Amino acid sequence: MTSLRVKRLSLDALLLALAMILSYVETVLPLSFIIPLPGVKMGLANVAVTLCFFFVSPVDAFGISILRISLTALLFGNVSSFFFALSGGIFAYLGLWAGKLFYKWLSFYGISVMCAALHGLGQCVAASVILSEAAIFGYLPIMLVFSLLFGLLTGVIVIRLTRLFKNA
Amino acid sequence: MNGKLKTGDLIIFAAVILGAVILFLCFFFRGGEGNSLVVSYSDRKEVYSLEDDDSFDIDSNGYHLKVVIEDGCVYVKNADCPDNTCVHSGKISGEGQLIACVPAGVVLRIDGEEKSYDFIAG
Repeated sequence: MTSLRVKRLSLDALLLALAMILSYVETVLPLSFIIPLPGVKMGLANVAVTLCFFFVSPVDAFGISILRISLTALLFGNVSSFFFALSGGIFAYLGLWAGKLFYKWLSFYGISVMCAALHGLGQCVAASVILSEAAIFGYLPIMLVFSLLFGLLTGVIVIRLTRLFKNA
Repeated sequence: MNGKLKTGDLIIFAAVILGAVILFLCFFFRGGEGNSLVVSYSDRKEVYSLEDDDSFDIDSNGYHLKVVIEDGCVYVKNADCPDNTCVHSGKISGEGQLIACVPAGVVLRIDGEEKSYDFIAG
């Protein structure tokens, strides 16, 4: 029992560290020069949250997501980026639950794309509230296109990493 | 659950693309070239005509943006915000297009003629 708890805690800590590193990698990559749109990110940190959700526990995944967002905002971000990330993170987390409910018909590709799309939607919702400007949703179409691309990317990474978890 | 694509995946991909296309049509095919610039920041809304070349400064949330209207296009010439996404956004001219500077809380949007704002919000 105790060793199981230790294992769970260790996995959580490992995955939070992974999520932090992936967030940092994203801030370093000059993606905004290639795609000059606010909020378009690869969403690599969602790899760690997805793995935690399906291989440790959904509750822990929520904790990792919120901690990752808070710590990343403290270290590399600002107040507004925190609220966008928080809203996006919560929407993406709901996507993970939808993925769990419909897991029979889905693979990690679909789940990752759904999370990425919901993350974009969540960011747009937060942005339109903070800037009180509904026209922000004009960004959503292009964000959805990128969420398909980057969702597939993170989906591939998740699938590659699941093998490690199955052996653990 | 594994690496194989399933039916639900394809439905999600289709829904995302369909959503993107529908939203794109809603926002960008409502009239073509715009003729005014709506600047909104900190509960203020200012409207500029695109007919005349102009340039003005915006101070918002402690940041400073220089906006230029030139040949019917709008762009942010420079900004002292940390990410500079608004500057990288380049020129906009079509109705519905926008540049948002998130740290400064500024939104620049191209509007068409006689279009009510509430219509877009709805």
